[in-house]
Amino acid sequence: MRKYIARRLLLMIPVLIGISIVIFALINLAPGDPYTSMIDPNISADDKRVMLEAIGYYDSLPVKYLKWVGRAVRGDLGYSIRYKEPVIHVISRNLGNTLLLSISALILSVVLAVPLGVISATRKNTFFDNLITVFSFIGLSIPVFFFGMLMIKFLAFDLNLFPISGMASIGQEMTPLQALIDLLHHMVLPVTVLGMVNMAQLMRYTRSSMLEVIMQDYVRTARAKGLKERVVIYKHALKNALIPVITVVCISIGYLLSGALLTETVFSWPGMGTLVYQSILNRDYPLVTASTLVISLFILLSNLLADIFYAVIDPRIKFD
Amino acid sequence: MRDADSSCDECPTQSDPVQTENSTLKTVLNKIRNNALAIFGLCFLSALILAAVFAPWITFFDRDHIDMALISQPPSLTHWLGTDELGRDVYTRLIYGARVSLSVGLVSTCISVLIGVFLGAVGGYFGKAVDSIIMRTVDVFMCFPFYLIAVVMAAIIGPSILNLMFIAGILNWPKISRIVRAEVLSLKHREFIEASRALGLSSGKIILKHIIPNTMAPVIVYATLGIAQGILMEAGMSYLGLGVKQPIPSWGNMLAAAQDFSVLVAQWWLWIPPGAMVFLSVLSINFLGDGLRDALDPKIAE
Repeated sequence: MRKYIARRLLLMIPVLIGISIVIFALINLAPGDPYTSMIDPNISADDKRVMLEAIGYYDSLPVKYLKWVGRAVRGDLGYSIRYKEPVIHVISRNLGNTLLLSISALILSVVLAVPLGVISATRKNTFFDNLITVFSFIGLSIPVFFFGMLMIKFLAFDLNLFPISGMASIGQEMTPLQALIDLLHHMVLPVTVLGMVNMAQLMRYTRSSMLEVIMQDYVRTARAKGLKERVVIYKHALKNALIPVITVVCISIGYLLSGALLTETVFSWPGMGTLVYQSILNRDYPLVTASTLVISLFILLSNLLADIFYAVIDPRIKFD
Repeated sequence: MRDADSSCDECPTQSDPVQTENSTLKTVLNKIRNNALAIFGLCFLSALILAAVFAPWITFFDRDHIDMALISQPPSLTHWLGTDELGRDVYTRLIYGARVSLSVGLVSTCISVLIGVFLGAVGGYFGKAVDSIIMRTVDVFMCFPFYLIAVVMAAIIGPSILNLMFIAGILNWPKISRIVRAEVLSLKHREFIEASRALGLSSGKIILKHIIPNTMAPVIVYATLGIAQGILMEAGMSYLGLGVKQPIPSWGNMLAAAQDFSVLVAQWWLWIPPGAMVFLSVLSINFLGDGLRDALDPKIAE
């Protein structure tokens, strides 16, 4: 077991190096040099060249890469052109908001998708099952931002049920409790939109996993020895059916973080997605590439988590 | 859940490829025919492709015709879906937009299938170091947040239809190569591959003529779903202003009109129709892909 986890961690190293190379390539492909805007335009070309040389602007690519990795490992991911401060500060201000949004969406989708998927599998080909199937197809097919726009127009604007955008109402004195309620109120629409797509996927996955387990011999044995259907499904079948579902849940953390880009843009949610989008519009490439790196690391970790979870909960897995 | 008939399906393919291909096609068609959702998808997509091809004949205005006297008009009998902020006919642009969205979906899928099948087959067949390098590359690509990296790439190489196709293609191949690799691993120790090796065929010939054709069933399913992914991505990127540029209409850049809040709340005809088109075509492709999956290979999991 410990060996398995160690092996998984070792396998992460080449992937990590690969990610860093791609991100580094993107940094170097980005048009313009990020220093021009920082240097006083009155400085002579010679002085500028000396300054750029001092920070390693003229180094060869491999040297630049090693220097960049060295800095990145110590948490120095560069300097934001727009905010005039280290990108790591800007990112840490926004990352929490994205995590709040994604984790809430994850919880919402798991809480709804797993029971619905199980019920749908146990009642295969009934009206309820067909309804769930069509519903999950709709969730899989609707563009996230279009769904968000529909919500804003009909629920937030026409019916005035929810705030249109942002994370908090502006210009109001609020007690902490009121502020929390206000935040939750702002979260309803973006979390629903982001959770919906994920829920559709999870529901289909739970359903097919459950259907597969229900057909196995040990479930038939459980039924044959006279157990109640409820016990067979929820005590015997569900445990095994959920194993692959848990893996998918872990992996979907990555999709949620990535899908948050469009959701955040539509709802002006001040998270990583909005940050990246704004930075691209402002050509703040150091911030863009650093954000991509940070989110890729989160995805890498969630994939690792998925593998470890899978090994921990399923005793049938062999560690070779 | 390893089912017996899938391996039996494949055995006769070697002895008489032509005949079995026909009968596989027949069984697939038969199975699809009983799937109402897949039929719906097929019909909608066929209609959409026809509309895209014959766009000039079924629209009544010039695609980019600007009419400043008639800007932002709600739907009427002359302008079925109203006009946009430059007085262009929304219905006309919607139909022409189908050309862009569908071609982005198709071309990007072709790119990712070519890369994915090639790398998957090579990795699976040769194993060892080649396989490790390819699979670690797949892992790297799988770790990238799809939309985020697409947006960053578009910002760097510039927004255009061709770049969009390239980005979608380059980001979608890893899944296909994983599937192909898994298939190749199970195929390469079969007798017919050993027989072709014994006959002295080169590795390239074995991969191209004997291995790849046998991995096509799951690839077709994923390619179908890949088209949907391409359409969704076109919509998202163009909505953010990093995809197809005006005046060429695409569903995504038509949706971008709703970035303006007054359009979003007051001029539904500018953004709900293109959004609905994206939704319906992706839905149709998903229905069809699901039908194909059931028909071609019941053991593929998501």
